[in-house]
Amino acid sequence: MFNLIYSQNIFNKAILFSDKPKTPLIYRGLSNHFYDRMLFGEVDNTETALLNRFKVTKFPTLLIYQTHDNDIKLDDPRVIIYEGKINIHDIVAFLEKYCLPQKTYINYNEKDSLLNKEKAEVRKVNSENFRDTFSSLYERRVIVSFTKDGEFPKELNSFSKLTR
Amino acid sequence: MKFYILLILLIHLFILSNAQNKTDDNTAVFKEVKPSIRIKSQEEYDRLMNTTDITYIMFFYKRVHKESQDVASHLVKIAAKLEYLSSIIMVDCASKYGQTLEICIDVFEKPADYPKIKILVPPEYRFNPYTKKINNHIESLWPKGTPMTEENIYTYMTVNIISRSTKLQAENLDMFTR
Repeated sequence: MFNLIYSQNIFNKAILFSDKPKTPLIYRGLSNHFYDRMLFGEVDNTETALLNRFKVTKFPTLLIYQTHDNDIKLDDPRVIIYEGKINIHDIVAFLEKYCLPQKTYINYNEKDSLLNKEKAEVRKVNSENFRDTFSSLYERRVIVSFTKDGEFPKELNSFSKLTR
Repeated sequence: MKFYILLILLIHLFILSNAQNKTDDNTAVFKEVKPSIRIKSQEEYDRLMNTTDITYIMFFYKRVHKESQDVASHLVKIAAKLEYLSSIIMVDCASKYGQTLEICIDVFEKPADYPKIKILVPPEYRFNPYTKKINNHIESLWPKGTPMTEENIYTYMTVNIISRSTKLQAENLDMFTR
């Protein structure tokens, strides 16, 4: 799952710099609350290279590494440091500004469920209609079979009875 | 003499009436557990489980029941402390939804066994992109014999709040921030 999230690369990131050996309860809870809307990372106070990179000198420090702004990927990511009190309501309000409005797996699952209900169909495509045909299949999975002399393989007829 | 008997009777009646009022008053404690979630149907429960990723405890109770009221009074304090981090699902076993649940069946026959608490821990990997299925919360019952004190319930909830945060080092920072 985490590999999938990284590869999607659509989330802003919260990073906690901490001098505590264990992940604080509040941060564990928030990482679940905002799961699939934002990525959570934490840096130990012994990671001097990372402390220098983000110019962190006090603990705890919470910052947002903003790679996206309203679905637009930023060329130069922004670093926004949380300056408020350590108060759950304030921190949640701060994180809400940078996370996705909805969990992605919910959309993915709903979309996929809709696609699952569609029946597969077989269409004949030629030089005249191929643009319109493929435009209408936007975001669908398509198997293309090239045939000889316009002959339509009988095996493909069975596909039309299948659901995906 | 008659006067004293009448006085004793009146005092006795007053005490009984107060005790009754006290019991009725305590049923209000269930509404004081805030924030909490009240589920009215299996569909609501499924939707909650399929769209949220926090740790829940489910509290199955009987309204006019001292032990249930006592535990609810602990939950009032715990719910406020764990807002956003974890949540409490309150299930009145006499409600329409409660009556459909196996865990509630004995509530009126064996009230000594109540209230009951179940913990629901979100799976580490919520959505499997290969099978396209959502993994469900993992359920477990309150450990038998453990008193349902405020401290025990709080600890039980907090140790079951998993971390989805990645430990960052120089080696994995670029992959995380890209």
